[in-house]
Amino acid sequence: MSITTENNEKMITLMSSDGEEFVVEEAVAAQSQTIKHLIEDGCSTEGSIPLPNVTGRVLSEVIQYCKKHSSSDDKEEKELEAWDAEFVKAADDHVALTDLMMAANFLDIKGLLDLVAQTLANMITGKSPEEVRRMWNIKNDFTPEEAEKVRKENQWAFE
Amino acid sequence: MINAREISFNLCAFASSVPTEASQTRASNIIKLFLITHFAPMDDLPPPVILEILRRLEDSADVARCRVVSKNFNALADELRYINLTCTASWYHRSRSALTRAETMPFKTVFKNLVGNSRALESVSVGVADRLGGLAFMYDAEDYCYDLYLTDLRFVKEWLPLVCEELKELKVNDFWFQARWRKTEFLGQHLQKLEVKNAWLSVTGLNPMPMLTSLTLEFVRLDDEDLKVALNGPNSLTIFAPELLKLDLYCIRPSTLVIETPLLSDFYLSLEKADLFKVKEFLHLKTLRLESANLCSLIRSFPCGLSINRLTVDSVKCFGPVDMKLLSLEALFDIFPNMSSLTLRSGAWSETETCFLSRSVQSEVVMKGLKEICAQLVIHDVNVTLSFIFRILDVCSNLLDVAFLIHQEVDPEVARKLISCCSNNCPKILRRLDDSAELARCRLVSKTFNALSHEVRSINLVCTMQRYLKSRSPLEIPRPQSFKALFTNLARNCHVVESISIGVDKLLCELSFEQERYSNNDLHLTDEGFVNQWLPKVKYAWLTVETLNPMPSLTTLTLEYVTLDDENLSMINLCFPCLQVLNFIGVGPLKEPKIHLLRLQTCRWTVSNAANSLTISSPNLVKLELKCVNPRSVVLETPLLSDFCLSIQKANELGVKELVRLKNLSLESANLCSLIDSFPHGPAIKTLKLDSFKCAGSVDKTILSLEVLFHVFPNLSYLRLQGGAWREAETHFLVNGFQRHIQMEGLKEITAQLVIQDVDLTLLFISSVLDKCTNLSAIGLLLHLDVEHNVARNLISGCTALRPSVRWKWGMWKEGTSDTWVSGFL
Repeated sequence: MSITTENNEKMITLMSSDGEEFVVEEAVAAQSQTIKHLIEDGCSTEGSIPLPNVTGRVLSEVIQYCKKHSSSDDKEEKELEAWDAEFVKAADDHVALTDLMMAANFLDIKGLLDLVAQTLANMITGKSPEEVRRMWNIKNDFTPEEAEKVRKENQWAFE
Repeated sequence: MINAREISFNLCAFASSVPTEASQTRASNIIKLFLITHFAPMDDLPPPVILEILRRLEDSADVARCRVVSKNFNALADELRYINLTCTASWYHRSRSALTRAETMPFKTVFKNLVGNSRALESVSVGVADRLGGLAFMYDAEDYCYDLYLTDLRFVKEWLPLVCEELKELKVNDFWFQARWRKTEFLGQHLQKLEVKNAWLSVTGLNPMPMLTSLTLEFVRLDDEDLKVALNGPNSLTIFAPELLKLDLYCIRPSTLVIETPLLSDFYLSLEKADLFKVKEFLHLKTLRLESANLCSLIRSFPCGLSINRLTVDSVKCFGPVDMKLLSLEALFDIFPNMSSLTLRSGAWSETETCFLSRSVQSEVVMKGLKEICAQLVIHDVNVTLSFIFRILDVCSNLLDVAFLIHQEVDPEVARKLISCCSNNCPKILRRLDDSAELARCRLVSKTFNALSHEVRSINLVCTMQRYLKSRSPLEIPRPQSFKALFTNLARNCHVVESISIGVDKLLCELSFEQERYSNNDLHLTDEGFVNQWLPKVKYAWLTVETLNPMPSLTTLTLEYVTLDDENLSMINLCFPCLQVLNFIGVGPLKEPKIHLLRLQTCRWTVSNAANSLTISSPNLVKLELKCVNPRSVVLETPLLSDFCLSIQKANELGVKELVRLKNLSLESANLCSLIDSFPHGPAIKTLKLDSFKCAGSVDKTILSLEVLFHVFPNLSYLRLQGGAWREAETHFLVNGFQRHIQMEGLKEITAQLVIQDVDLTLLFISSVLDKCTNLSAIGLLLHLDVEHNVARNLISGCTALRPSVRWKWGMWKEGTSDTWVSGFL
């Protein structure tokens, strides 16, 4: 479904995996390479674009990011950086960040992917393996022998 | 940390407790969704997404720790195509301490292992932490364990061949204290980007790196000689180094030279000749040293040199014919307008000097910013050299330091002459200081400078924003010397000051006046009290009205020999609306000045001839002393004027409104008669003083007649005729006699400076005047000093015999001195 606003801006509707609908300007949505390709392929003409991998909650955040970054071409870079920092801080817990990361990956939004991946990388920096495991709920799947071997190989990084 | 699995378990328990089947399914659906979207563990992320995160870990130590996290992570880490290994300070110290040395894996071993375990490395960055740069190096304690000499050829050969197929980026931050002792020849082959810091690179046996597009060298000691050889090939040289701060580049004749180093601040370029020289703009380049066989063309092809502060140029001879143009100082100043220090080495000096000589007309360049000049003189003819030096001093008006190096082989006599001529010019240099703050600093330099500084003839003091703020801040203790006190001291210490410029920083103008008024008046530079402190001594000043604040409380303003950039005095009228007393002596330049001050009562105004027309429109003016030369017109709108003293060579147009209150008038002119003719009737004028002076050039003037005078000023009671006026009146009388029968009954007293040609004729004139003025009771006559004794005696006896009722007073006069009365009224 496509409607046109007063500004002659084409609007498109995105539907999240849990059935929520979001009406956004095409320029905003097209920051996602995935959506852009879907539009180009004519998927948007017959109703909303379904995004089966993204929930409404995550999608609303993604749209928030896209809106900011499409409207602020000419804005100061610093202001945008500050906004980005606030944005990832708001999604502070790593679980929400991994969701965003997944969404950015699926929707192919490079800026968002960079931002979230860097934030996650920064969270790993300086942490012990145990802390990383706890943070992301990762199972230590090494056998004791394997664990000792890999530990030894990387011992230099623990001193 | 909340355990996600624990929570999900609890939620499942909640779901099963929901009663109906339908709602149960819905609830479990919600929970399922919830689990997928919100509690996806990192392990569930697709590997490419995890890799995206791992790729962004900056340090290989973090990667190593991640390997220990899980199998998945360990496997993914193998995919990483970069190594970024830094020897931290603690690692370095551990490797050196006897206690921990055994357990600590040597840095280089770790690095080699990393390289060995990686596939298809694209980027390698290896180096020591910047903090280590400050460590002192124990040469004797060196061994492999803590050897951080990263550009060591043996070490490089151990790993670089393994990776060089794919390697695109290489960064080496070497351990300077070990590396600086040893040269290295290392460098890879397929590199696209190379960054080397703190190393000593030799270029002998340098492998070609055709793929290299980016080269960053920081604090790299290059083997000069070899590099020269390396760059002397026909190939082009491109330096793209975004972080390069200092670059010393020697090359001979590269076909093209392209330099893109935006942060470069210090650049030494020695280049015999470049066919194509392309340099991107340097925004941060401060220090530039250029050496070339064709300096002029090199400088001409140099990008805009606005940022360059220190410049050193030299011209070298080269073999083979070069069609070179000589470098001129003007070109140098034109391209590097903001330099403050210039060094001309011998080659450049002789080039610029030759260029100076060969040009008859010099373009007008001013180098205000140049503070320091140093030159190696090449003296062919000492007079030529001197004239060139003076030319430089002329152009560079703010030079502080001038250093000339004279060649050792120069004849001592020649050297002495040069030195004495130059040092005589020293005050000239001081005189060119633009700001008196600089002068004060110069005083501290040496005794000679201090003494010379008293000879300075100009004072230019600006109250800067900073000083103003300091003086107002309550925190500043001790309070800085007030601006005025500072200035008064300065003015007192300079004996022969000719010009003064004093003002406030433009920034200060933006402060509102309200604030100004309460700020203890320290910046009202033209207030009477302050001006009186120094004006009696120093009468030359330059006032800028641009920065003038309105001073409604100022009632008296005296400007003597002040240069004022307010041609028509409009700013003066605006800024001092309440002036009551105005003294303008030699204030200029003026064009069409108009004094329009409503409250003005007394005005003394001496105007130079530059002014076209003068207008005074002051309804309350009582006393006016106006001295002007030959204005096109004089317009007075001063109805209350009672005392008027006018000195004018010739007025083409005198527009004076009727002066009904005028009592005392003094006129001085080259053409008195016409002045009096055009003067409005003065019924109230009681006192009149007249003088006529000769003026250069022929003036077709009418001679003053007393009868005309009496006609115009019928109610005079006192008349004074100065020598010139007396002579005119007497001459007119002797030629024409008195024709009208005007009686001057009101006239009581006459004073006159006599010019005696024939004593009998003078007596005749005096007796005729006595006949006309029946009520004259006192006559004071001044005889010229040159008049002979017996002539004087004859006149005195003749006069006293004329009319017994008149009291006589006698004295002497001479041009340019004041009159001396010999007697009182007898």
